[in-house]
Amino acid sequence: MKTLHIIWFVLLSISIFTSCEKEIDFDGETTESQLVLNSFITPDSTIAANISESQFFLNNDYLFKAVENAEVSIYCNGILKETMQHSLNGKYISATKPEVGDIVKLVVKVPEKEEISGETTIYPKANVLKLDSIVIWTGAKPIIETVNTVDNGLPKTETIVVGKYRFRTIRYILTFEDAANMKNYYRLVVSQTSSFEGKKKVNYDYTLDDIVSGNTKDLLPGIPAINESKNQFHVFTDELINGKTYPLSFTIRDTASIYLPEYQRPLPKKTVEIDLQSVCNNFYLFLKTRSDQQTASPLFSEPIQIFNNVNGGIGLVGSYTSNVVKVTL
Amino acid sequence: MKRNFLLCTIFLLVTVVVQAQNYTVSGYISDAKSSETLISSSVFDAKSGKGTVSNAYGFYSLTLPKSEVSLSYSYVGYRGEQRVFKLSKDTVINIQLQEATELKEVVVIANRKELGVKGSQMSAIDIPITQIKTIPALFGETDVLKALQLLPGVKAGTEGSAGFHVRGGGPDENLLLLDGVPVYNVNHLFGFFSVFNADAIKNVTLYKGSFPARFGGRLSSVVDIQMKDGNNKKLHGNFTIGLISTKINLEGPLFSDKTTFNISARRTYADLLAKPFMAMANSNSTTDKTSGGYYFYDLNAKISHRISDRDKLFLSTYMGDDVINVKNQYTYNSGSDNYSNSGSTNTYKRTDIDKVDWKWGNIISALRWNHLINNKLFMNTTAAYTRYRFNMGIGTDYESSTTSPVTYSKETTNVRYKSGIVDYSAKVDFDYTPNSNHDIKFGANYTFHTFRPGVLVARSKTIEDNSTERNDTTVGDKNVSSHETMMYAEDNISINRVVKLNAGLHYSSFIVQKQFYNSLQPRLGARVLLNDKLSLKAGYAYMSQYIHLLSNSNISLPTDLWVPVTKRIAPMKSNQYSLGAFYNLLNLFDISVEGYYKSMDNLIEYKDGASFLGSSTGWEDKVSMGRGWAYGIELMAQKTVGKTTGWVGYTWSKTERLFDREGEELNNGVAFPAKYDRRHNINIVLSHKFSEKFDIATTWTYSTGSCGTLALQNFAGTTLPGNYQTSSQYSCGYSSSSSQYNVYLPYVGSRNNYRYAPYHRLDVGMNFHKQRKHGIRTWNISVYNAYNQQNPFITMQNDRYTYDPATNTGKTTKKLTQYSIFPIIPSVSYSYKF
Repeated sequence: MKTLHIIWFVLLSISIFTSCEKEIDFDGETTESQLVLNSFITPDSTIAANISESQFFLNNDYLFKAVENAEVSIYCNGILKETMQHSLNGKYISATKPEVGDIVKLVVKVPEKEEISGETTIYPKANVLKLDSIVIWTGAKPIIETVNTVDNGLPKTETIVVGKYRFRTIRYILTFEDAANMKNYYRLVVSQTSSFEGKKKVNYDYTLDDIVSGNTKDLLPGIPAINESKNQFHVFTDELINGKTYPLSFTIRDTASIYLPEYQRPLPKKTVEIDLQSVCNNFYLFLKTRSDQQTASPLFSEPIQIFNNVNGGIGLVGSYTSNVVKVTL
Repeated sequence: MKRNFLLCTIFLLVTVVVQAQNYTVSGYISDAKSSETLISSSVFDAKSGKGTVSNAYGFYSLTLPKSEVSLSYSYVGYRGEQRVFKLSKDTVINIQLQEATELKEVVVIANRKELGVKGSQMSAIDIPITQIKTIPALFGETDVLKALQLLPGVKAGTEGSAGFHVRGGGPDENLLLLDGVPVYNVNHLFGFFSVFNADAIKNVTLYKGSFPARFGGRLSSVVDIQMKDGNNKKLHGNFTIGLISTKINLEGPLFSDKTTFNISARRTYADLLAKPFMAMANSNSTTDKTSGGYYFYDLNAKISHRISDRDKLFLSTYMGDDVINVKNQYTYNSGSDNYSNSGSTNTYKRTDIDKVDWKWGNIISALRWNHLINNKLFMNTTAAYTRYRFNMGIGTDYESSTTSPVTYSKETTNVRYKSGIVDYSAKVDFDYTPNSNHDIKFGANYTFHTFRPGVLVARSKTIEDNSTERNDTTVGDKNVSSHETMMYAEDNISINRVVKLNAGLHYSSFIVQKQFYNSLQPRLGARVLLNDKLSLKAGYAYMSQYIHLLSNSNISLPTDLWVPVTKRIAPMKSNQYSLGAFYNLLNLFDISVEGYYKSMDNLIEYKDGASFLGSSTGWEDKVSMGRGWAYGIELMAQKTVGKTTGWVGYTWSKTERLFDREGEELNNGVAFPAKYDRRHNINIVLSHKFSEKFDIATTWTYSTGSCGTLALQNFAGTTLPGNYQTSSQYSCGYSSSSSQYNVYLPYVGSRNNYRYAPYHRLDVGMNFHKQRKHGIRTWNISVYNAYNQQNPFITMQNDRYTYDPATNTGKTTKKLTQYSIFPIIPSVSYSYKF
């Protein structure tokens, strides 16, 4: 049995320690770079677009090449509105402000390149009726601070409890009315501004947890093989709620600091912004496939083709219409 | 028209039934030493030129005119027997053939008369288990399915995997039958080994086209595996000790020669052998303790009982499981380290336990009754049960406490996941041989399926000082039941010496969730014998399939789920046409050329990004339906006689998919190559017997690389409106120039647009035999992937960072990296046969 152990160990070691990874040359066809057009259009704001060139996937350039000599034309409902002006690094700006219901088309001409174009329709604002919330306090943890003191002439480190963190789960119910007789696409963006952090706006890590919006909750945190791919950009359609009033529910987790009277500190003022965006079909598909692409495992899922609607090139011309509700915590 | 049809029918019936002055010779053909029945043995009357072959139970029936007959019984590798007598009444002759010891080196690849030059069946091949056992294998583990991968028209899936693709079909389009009962999960260890233990198997037949009407339910192939009945004369057995497993096989009479048994068991012991190393690692760590391991086992058992000359009973069973158990415990106590010496009065204790407990496997049981109704009509009745189940448990226990201030927290998470499929089935098959020109088979089958889609129960409990939070989540679908029935009739018709036909009809139906599907499937095979050495054959088969395997990975995972068709997902269908020429050269080589064209409809493919991984919820939304086609040419030259035996096979093939139905488009509705579309495939299998003491076998395989999808361009994804840093990113200190503001997005131009490097591998195996007092011992030394070819398992783009100390700068370059999983793997095994 001992001999068998040794044979097994030696042979297994030979197998394991033989290299199983190597760099190889790409022996397929090196594809040419293509023009990339990205523009996210919203009503009553001027239209901007970014134009760049795609790179072969083994190209080592860190930055994409910005296209600065393009002629970018804006058409609204088939009528030429203006030619966009280049501002910086491939960003083109205009004075055109589209309205809800407009069909906006961007046409890009670059010398020695094929013309590319993308089109979108501006969707009406989502009809938000009300916002309710339920706060559940889920636990607490002491706020521990370390204090350096001197005891009998010797330095001493002491930990003291100065207060407690209270954990809360806030479940919001955003009631909105879906417009009947048309296919609608939505995106929920929840962000927070804190008076303490330079009033910087940050997105919440939140979960959509109903059937309409698609469950984004991790069933088993830390076990990716079991979790479905995430709806990273929180997009959903009205497939199940067409023309109905619907209470969309989502949950954020938050912490409130409560200090003991002797250790009082100023508390930040937090503002939560809830933006239910009405997005066009193209933007919805782009966000969905981009989310899938970013969360998919190369071993366990089919490769993703990120949606693009640019004829002759790559990228997206999409639209969104915001409806923002603000809440102070 | 109706009248003509009626007249034809009457004429056929008359020719079949009315055969004046004919008598029938029938009986069983078996091995003289073990009484193991010999499948497809040849029976031939030299006087009339008529013949037949024994069926799957060794039974034959040959009806001849009243006259003197000269019957030759033969089975390659055995001495032939001859009986000359005057046939004047129905006669029963049971024949026992002696193994031809002087021909021991003869290895037969295709011994079935109906598969060779003279038979009407094409696109099928028998591989005797003796041949399979000589083929060198991964870790020395003889593997039936890996042997099949070496045949023309059969393509291996991922390196090492037991999954295979036949004539452009998917891995779930193969029907694997063990003693006539379907096996759903044929893999151990993620597909690197198959569940079929060669010691328990008598015969393997692969059908890849021109399917006889008795088979149905899958589009691409049928693998018919027969288990050994057991020796009725003497107790025999063998055992093998290999690198990763030990096998034992026993067979013999039970109580009397009327009852026999055959039992085989196999267990891997990587878990046992790893224990000392694990203990060593544990003893070196004060904080981590790991225990557990992986093993698989399987057990095949069969009892055969001869009730009378007309009745036999068989009870066979298979059970096997893969088991993974791992427990890792991490303990930390600050009181025992320097932290407490800093003057702090606090003691921090922490215990983390992670547990994994996976178990998956099959149970198959079949009770069969062979009954000889009369010497022309043989009946086999089977009641069977088959079950595949996957149970997975994952758990964590995290516990921590501090003494100053006093805090305590404990978090327990337990997750259990279960899935599987259970079938109860009953079938009856008849073999009717009215005369020597007809061999009719008919029968029916009913199967009650219960599909158990994945159900996941997740429970967690968190205690933070005095507060407790519990979560209890159950996700999954209800069991789905379905009824599958099938009926068939086929006739192997000898029209004259030159033309032979196999015509049949297969009818099947499937009821699921109040949805009824059915299909009538014609099958036809024809042979034209140009001369004794050369024949042409043609075949047509229409097939339908009612179940799908949801799988998302390159390897076979136990989470792969079988699901039935639904209202939205219709049954898959295929039409296959094949044409071939068969030639026997000098009685030494069998040479065949076959061409085929197969069209497939209602195929499913996963949508971009679709991932199942154990969840069938909403699976219909994650797949698209489309069609496909495959065509190719297969060449095979095999030598079945002599000291050197083996075959050379070459396949040229092409297979594509098209998903262009509205709302179901994949690849923008443009055709794309299937994942395992490999243009060229060459297999060489050779064995040479130098002496009774030493033989050597080698295989070499080459195939064009399989297809994968690479994003060949990257493009800029600008900041999304309303996208800021997330709160967790902000608290982690992400800067505003973090990656989400300069997003590299991959652009996938088309699916399966990249071809991996070609696959090739050489395996060599040597056997050293020695006669011992009670039996023969054999040392087997084999080398898998002898020249250490790094074959692609997956290829992906990676970033490589290099640092230049001279300039104190670093550089990141993009590289294409290929990962391989099996380098050169030598193995050794010892076996003893008595």
